[in-house]
Amino acid sequence: MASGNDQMMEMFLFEMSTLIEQLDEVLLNSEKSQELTEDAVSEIFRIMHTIKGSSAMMDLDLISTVTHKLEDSFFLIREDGIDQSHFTELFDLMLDATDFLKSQLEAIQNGDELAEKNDNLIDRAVAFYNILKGGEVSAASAPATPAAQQSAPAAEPDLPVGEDAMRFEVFFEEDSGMENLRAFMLINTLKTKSKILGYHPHDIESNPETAMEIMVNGFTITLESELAPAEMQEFIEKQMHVSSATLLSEEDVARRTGKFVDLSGTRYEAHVYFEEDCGMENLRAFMLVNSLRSSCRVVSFSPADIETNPETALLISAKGFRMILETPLSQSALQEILNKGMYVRSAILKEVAGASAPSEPAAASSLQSDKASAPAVGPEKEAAKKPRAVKAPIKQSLISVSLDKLDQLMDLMGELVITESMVVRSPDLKALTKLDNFQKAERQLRKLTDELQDMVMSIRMIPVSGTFQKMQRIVRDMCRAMGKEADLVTMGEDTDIDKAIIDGIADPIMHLVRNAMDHGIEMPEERLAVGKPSKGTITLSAQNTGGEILITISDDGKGLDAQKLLEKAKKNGILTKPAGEYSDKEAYMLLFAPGFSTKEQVTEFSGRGVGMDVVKKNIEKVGGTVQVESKKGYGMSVFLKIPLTLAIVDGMDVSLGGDTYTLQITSINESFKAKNDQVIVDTEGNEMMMIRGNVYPVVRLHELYGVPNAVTDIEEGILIWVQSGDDSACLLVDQLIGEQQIVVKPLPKYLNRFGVKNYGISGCTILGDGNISLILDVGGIIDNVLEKR
Amino acid sequence: MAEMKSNLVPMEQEEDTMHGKYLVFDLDHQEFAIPIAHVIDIINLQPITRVPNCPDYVKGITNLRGKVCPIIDVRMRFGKEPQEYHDRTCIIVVEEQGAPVGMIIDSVSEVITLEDENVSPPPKFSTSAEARFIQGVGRSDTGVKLILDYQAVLGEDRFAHVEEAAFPMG
Repeated sequence: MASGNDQMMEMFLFEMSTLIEQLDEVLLNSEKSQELTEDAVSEIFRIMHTIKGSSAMMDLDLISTVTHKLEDSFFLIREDGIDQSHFTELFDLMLDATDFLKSQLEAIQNGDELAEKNDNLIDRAVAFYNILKGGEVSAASAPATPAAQQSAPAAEPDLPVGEDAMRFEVFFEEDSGMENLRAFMLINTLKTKSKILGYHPHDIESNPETAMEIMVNGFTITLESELAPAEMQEFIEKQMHVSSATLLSEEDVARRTGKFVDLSGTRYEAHVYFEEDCGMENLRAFMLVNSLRSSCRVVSFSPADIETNPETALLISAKGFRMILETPLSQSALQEILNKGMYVRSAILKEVAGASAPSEPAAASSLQSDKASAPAVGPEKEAAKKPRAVKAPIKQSLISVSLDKLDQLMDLMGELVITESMVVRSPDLKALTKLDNFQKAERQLRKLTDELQDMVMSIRMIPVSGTFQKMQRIVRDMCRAMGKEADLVTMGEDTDIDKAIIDGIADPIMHLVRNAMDHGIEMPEERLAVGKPSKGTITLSAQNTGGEILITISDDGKGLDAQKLLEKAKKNGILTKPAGEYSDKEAYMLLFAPGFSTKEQVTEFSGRGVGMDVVKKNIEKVGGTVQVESKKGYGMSVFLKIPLTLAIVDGMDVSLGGDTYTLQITSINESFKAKNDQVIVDTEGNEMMMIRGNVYPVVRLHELYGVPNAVTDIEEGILIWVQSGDDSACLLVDQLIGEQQIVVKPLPKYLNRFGVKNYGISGCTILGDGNISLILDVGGIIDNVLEKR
Repeated sequence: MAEMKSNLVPMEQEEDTMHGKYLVFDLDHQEFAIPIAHVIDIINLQPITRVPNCPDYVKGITNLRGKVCPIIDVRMRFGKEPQEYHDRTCIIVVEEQGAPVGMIIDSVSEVITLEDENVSPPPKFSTSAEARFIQGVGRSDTGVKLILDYQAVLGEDRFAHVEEAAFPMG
């Protein structure tokens, strides 16, 4: 029982956070462009409505009340628009509201007490609603809104329809489909609560084309009920797939008729090809025509006798299938519908000019004649909605899966990779000589597991856009609070990263953006004084560089001053060598040293001196590295290099005293045999190797790890030149064993107490023969060695 | 652990059937017992991968059916001289913080039942190295068994000096 509730709560939280993210995005975009498009308004309205509904279902009354009040305002805005003068207030109100929602969600997630009330926000919402309404009452007769009936009953208009009769206009959810059947079911449900006097369109049961009409114009029901209009409305809104229900007054009805969209819409010519091997093309075409009937009017098609003449199949497969369609949908939406049709390989859509005129005889359908006088709002307006129209169907093909399951899938994938190498490297095979078929099958298996692995990985990949999006808000808030001006430019938001890694880098990115805002970007006057535009720019970009993701956070602020950094570090006592020996790059990295803060005062946003070293730690935790570049006066850039994924990597097995160790291929520069006289020894006995003019320390792994029976003569063993970030070293091992994919497993918790990780061992992996190999962490090894020297 | 388990109904039954049952094993010619409820597996010696920079008694890690399992040598944990492993050497696998940990012992002999009244607290005056790993003394028909406190064997807090000794480099 509890788990069922938990699951619902989990779904709820997931849905809420997605919605709030969308809301944030819409709000910030609108605020930036200082305009509130129709799309944005309905989007916000829809989000508010959904949150209201689901939170009421979860018994979260406060959230539900707040969103209800806001929804009211947006209802008004949607109906009557909003004056620019109210924008600031509106956006502040809405952003505060999203903050409130976020805090509530967080409280739910952490199991904290939820806020009992937030009168301030509700009062503001109501006040704002009244402002909107005040302006609006003088403009037109007040339409009845859900709020009017609940929060301000005095505003409820008289219903001229009669004492009990009410008329509702119902819209269904955008992607519900089969609107006529939904309407029919709605009528049936309503019969239990009320007496249905009539509805429009009336032939919903028999005429599938009404689906289109309902989708565009809504479904009007006239009914009589003992319930109050507000209750009735609520009841209707609770029904399946209903997105909104509005109580109509007589004037509304009159006003609305003027708004009806011409259903005949634009005429398109569609040229469809089916998949090559689908067969029976004529029947496929026939089914396509049928399925299209719910969303558009099929005027004609060619070849015409597909139903009766099987020979048309050949014709269609050779020359395609042509249709003349008429629809108020945008071209892209229609294209989407066509593309989604079964067996459709490609569909070319062309607008046929002049065909959409209402006087066109072919368009004079029964629907058309109802409102022949209606202005054709059709194609142009729909075209403006293009992005949304395309989005809606995409959504349907997505499912949400719990991360646990994906983790399990990943684990299984790992087991599979291990088992595969157990099979193909089985020692039993060594006794056999003729293995042609086995090897063929092995290659096939290898190919399949590789593909499967790529697929499993790609499932876990999500774009960084969500993380980037959150930064917009931070920049905006900080600009306001600090009186600075800055734009956040994002690039490569669609770069995909493993979900587990994204979770790990969200905080570091936030810290870095805050830091750029706080310490990097100067005040507008300062910027103007040095000849920069008053508005700063912070660029956030992500790109896939092969095995790694490179995330860059750069600003055009004042940049870093190496001298200042060093002084500061000296004062804080965190210098590890004389200040004069630091290169600029090393000085910049001091930023990320524990206990370092360049700003004298601690501010609300950054500068506690804990942020930046946490950034480095967190990035390293997901196997990444941090680098800084800066030019004084011109800004700074921070580069985060993050591995694409953590779990399965290409590894090089090496042997050392009979044990096997594994190095990540990406950390290996090259491996080579060396002569004893090539080794340079310094005064303290440290061995070094010269490679192409640079000197690198030689690390005898057997000494570091105290391995007995290992090769101690450099000429006998092999040197591997490895690199991690800027650090390089040559590792001496007995020999190379070979390359293979390995599944990284963490070391058992029990060993943590011995500080094994500090000795450059990051994890382990199970080899094909069932033995375990330790994975070497080059960065750790080099740090360890340098520390000792 | 045991208290937590008893809150769950099926576990309670399992606990009941296992209550008072002990696995007896041999270590340096002494008979030890460990409550069998804590034992999740007994395996033969198998290849162990050495993990560097651990105390001597930590022999390394092994592959326990796909799980990575650390292995310690109880004899060395007790501070006794290491001995060559032989074909009767066994690894008793117990669960520690939700993950398996293996303990190498000389050999496993039998499973016995010890009634609660036959178990007494360890003698306080004992100063031998292994005394701190003993949680009680059980008397059975076949003689006296020392009941191993495996959590102390796997624990760290009270014996921090052991690790310090293992890290001369600091």
